[in-house]
Amino acid sequence: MATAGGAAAAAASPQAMDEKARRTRDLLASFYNTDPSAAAAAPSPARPSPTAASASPLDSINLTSFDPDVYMDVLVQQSNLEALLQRHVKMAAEIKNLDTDLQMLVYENYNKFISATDTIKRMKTNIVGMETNMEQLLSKITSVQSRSDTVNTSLFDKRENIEKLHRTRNLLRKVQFIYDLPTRLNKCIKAEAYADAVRFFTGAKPIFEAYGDTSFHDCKKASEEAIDLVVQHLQAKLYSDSEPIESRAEAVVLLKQLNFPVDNLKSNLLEKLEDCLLNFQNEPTQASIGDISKTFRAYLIIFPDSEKRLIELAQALFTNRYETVRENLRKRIPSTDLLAMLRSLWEDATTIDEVISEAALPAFSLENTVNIKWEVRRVTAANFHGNKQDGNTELLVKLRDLIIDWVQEGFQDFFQKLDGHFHMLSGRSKSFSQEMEPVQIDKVPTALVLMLAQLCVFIEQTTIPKVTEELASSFSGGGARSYEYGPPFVPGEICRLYRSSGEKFLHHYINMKTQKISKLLNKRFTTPVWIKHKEPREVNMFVDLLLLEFNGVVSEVKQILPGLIRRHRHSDSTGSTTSSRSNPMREDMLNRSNTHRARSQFLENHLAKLFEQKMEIFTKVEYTQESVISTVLKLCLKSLQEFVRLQTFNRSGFQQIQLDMEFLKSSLKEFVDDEAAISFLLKEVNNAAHERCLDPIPLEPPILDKLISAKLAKIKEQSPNMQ
Amino acid sequence: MASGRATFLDLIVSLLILAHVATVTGVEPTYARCIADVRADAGSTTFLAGTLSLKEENEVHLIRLSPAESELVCDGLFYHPNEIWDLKSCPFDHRVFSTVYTSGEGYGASVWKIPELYGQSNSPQLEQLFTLDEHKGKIRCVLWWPLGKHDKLISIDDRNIFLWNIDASNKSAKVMQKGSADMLPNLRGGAWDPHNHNSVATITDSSLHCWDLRSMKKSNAIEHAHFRDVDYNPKKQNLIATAEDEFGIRLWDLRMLKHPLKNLPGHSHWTWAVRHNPEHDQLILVSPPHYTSARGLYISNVLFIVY
Repeated sequence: MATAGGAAAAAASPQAMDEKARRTRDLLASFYNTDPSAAAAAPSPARPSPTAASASPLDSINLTSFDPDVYMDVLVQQSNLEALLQRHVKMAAEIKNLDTDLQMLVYENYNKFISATDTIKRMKTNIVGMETNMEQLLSKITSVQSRSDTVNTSLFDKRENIEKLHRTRNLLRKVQFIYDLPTRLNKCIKAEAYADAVRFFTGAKPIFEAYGDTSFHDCKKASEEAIDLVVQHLQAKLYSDSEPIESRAEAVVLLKQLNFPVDNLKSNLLEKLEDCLLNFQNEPTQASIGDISKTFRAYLIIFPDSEKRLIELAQALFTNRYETVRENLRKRIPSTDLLAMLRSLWEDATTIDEVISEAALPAFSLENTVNIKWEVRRVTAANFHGNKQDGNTELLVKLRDLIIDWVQEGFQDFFQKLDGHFHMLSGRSKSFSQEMEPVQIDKVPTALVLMLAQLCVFIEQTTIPKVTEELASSFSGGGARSYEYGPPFVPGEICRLYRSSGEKFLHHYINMKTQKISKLLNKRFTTPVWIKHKEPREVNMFVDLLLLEFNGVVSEVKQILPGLIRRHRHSDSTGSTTSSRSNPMREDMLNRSNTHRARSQFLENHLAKLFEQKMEIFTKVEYTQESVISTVLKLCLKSLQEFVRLQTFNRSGFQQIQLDMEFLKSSLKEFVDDEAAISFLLKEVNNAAHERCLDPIPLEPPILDKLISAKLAKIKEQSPNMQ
Repeated sequence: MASGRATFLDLIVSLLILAHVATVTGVEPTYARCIADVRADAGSTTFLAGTLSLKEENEVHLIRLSPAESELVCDGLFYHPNEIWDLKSCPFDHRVFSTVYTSGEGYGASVWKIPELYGQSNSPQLEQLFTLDEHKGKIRCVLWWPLGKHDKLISIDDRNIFLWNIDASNKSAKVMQKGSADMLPNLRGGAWDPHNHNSVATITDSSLHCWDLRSMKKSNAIEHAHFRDVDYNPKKQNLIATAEDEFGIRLWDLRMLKHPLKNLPGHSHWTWAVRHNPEHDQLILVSPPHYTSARGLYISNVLFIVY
């Protein structure tokens, strides 16, 4: 009462009170909690509202706007004597209580004040002691510093000495190395470590050049002898065919480092090769074409700059051989021999072509063969004149067949190899035994795989028919080869190959994408402790990531795959799709559960639903944007469902899932037109969470809407920034 | 799956069992995540299946294929205190099995014994032989040595692998060895080599490791694949089959882990389980996650692969 009265008195003269005093009073009032309404009214205490005071003047005793006269009037008017007496007793007791409280407060505050002054006094004395301590510390630190300076200066001379000694030692070590060089080189020669020997020698070379004539004369001589030996060894190595190609190439590099005239060696070797080729021409039995191609490859590796010369050699070889064929033609050897000769020539050309493709040998050979054909025709014509109509027309036909076979075979081979190459590019190569390591599966760009799939379709549907047509118009017939080898070009087979490859690539693409998303989902669902999940405040971040991934898929797919006119496929995905394979199974199952007739009705419904849904999820993938996107989407939602089923949720966890799915539902609409399936799958996720939740109470729809619209607003806010 | 008696029959049997579980237990089809064949029971083809339900009571079902092999008989229905995430039958005592279960927050693993059945089929109480309670994390599975009597048991949680010495008569189990996954990602499961007591293969999110149980050291490994399940070939040493996210089914030789022996196509979505037929090792049973969660007819997806 006393405080309240005081406050009222102060409020009566608000103008006299300055700002600071009023704030202090407000703070005190709120601290001692006289009355919540008083504290609330404090910011505008200047004019107490008359309506509030007159409304219940009896209750306003604790307010700042308390008016004792009004209070008294009202009290006297409203109460009888007994009540007034009671009020008096009560008020007296209250006043007493408040007085003691006030006293206590004052006493307490006084106590606090005294202890505060004590503390301040103690602090003062302590600080006085500290000052002397600090001075002592300072003097000590300065003395330490001076000592350290003296030590530093006294050691300075010695340090210079040590550095000088160190330099000398390094120099001596170098000299020692030079002196040791000959023995070291010999050791290297013994161990056949020529690379080391050359390295040592080239390292020491500048020194020999500078001081070789004076101080290191003997040493230089011995080293040079050793190095000469090394050079000899390396040359021998280079010339010997039995050495592996790599070591021969290394020998050349080392010789180059020693400034040895490598070009001489090269021309020597190439001349040797030329001799060898001449031999081959004259007596083809002596060396096989395989050996020659091996030699070619070896030389290409050993002398990277010798390619031009090698090409010339190869072309010369084949020109000569065609010359021989022509001569034979003039000699009129039997037609089969001629064909065999041409065939072997062709095969040899392809073998060499694998090694040096720049020589363009097949083209070269083809040209020559065509020339020979003309020549044959001429010879045949001449024969007509001579009335000697032997097997030459037959020869002509056979020759034509042979060429047709080559062309067709070439196409067949090309397409098969292309397919293999596609597989290697996509990282799914099955030929692990090959030298080339299979490309790491993670590093294959997904767009490439999709591109390959589309390429396969193009080849199957456009290229192959065109090629077949071309072949039919220009190269029909053929069949000179015996049928044991099979027909040369089979468009059907190639088409099948590419169709299956295309499908594989498409599935591979979908796989890669869903794998990636599934990793994301795995992280999302295994990291948090779902059983202690907090209340959902916003749509989880993983939804953003998920949508980002989907956007990536969509943009890739839209760039590569053809679109499709939108149509509603609900009818054919839900209608007659119960496959013949599973039908009997279901009937069987239902028969089994006949005993439980009451429940079987329920089961039947349940199972029928499951079947419908299953068919809808795993529909066949087509080469269209919609099909691929919706397949990826469906598989991902399926994964999501499975992840949910592995967890146990509390109510908030379940609500979080509910919120995320609801948001996904609105965002996924723009990706696919198969909306029914998507919303079904999302509902399945929700159901799964419901199933795995201890306390499945869903979020209220208004809250759900609010959170989702908040998220949408956030996205809208961000998107202009991103642009 | 069954004791090597039939091949395709097994498939149908498992289908029927799941239908059975679905129909026996109440109005709604109950979820079951695990099913195990009772190998120790030589006389008949029996299976154990455990239910997975948060809200209702969980049960273990003992199911027998009748001699005519045309009908399923439920031999027992036992109350189990928590929902069952893994169930394995003891290979040498047909009345003993292990379960891994969870009650909301905590995981537990126990070995149980089915009481003697005196005619009546509903004997309510399972006898708990012992619990494997050294685990701190999420227990993944319990492994029995597959080919007969062995006094050890393995349990795997997400960070550790424990080797237990078990004594069924004294109802006790003691930890003998403990291995830690250290730097590896979380463990997911494993398989015990039937050809070697001391070798166990474990799988993580991204790799497969073989452990030597004597030293608890990891030896050879396959990296960069997301394994879901692994099974040893019961007939040929060193061969394993794995179920993976990327490749479906792959067969490996443990001596040459660089490349798989074979890639086999799995399911169109995920393949989560793979098992060899115990008699015909070229027959593999694989299943998508639906199967392991065994709800209604999803199991029509189970594939047999012959290679």
